[in-house]
Amino acid sequence: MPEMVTVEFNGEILERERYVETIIHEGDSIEFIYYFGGGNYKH
Amino acid sequence: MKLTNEQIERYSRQIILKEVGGKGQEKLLNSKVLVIGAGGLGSPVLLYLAAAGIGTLGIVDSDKVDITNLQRQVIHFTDDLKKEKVLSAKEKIEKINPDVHVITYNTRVDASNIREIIKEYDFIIDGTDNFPAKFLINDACYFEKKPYSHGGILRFQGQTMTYTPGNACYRCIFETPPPKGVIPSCSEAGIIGAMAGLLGVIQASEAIKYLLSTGELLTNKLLFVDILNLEFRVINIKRNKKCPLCSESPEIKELIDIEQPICKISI
Repeated sequence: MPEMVTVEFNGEILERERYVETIIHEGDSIEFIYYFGGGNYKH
Repeated sequence: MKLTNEQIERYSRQIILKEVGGKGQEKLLNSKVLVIGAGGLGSPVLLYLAAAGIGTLGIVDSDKVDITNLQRQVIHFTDDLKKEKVLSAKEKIEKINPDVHVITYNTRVDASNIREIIKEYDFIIDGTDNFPAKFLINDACYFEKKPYSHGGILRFQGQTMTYTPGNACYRCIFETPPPKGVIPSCSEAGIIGAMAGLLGVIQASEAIKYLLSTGELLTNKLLFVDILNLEFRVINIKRNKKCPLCSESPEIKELIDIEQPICKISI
């Protein structure tokens, strides 16, 4: 699900709209950065 | 402020560090740190900052101690059940170290009160449990030009980063909160107490380093920790030219409450 992750592509944050068109080549660096909330919040 | 003989003895194990010294200890005793959330992250942060002799500790929390908190929120004891968390935390801090002046805010931060609260402090710790609060703290610290430590935990994992004015902010990575229902909370997905402890201790050490102007801060970096597989990883982060908050042409020009209740998901 693209909404739950931020992608860093070669050191820059990749806009979600560009996920589909972005082509990965050998040597590219990709980081998936997930949200972390936490807590014991009562709904 | 001159250190008393008792203070020199109490803090001797850190005063002997060249990065601290007598001057550094005086700095810590003159410093004010605000901890937002006296829970899993806030507990270790408060315990260590109190023991280290941070002169003023502010605590923001509107909850009362619940039995499900005790597995990880180590500043609260079984005898404190149903007590206001800010009061429970204050009592422990005063027992650990009478040098510390504690200011309690039995409230939740929102766009109407947060700037007023944080502006009195030198460093802010995000120990909150929900995304609207995390984004609010980031935005408020940006507008008030305050440094802060972000922390988030879930299951056996966590992440933390430090913001100081001019460096990458939380919105440089995450532009907006996740949609409802996408990311579970600890009460839904679980959390190991030691994970909260580990992350909180890193946040406390970031505050101390900032106050002493020493070492390398976790600015323009995001630390990811996984204690199940014992993995520590630092991801370098740059300021995002399209950040909705801190870029040159930001969408967010004033502090607003973010309408996004904490996510629900069945796992």
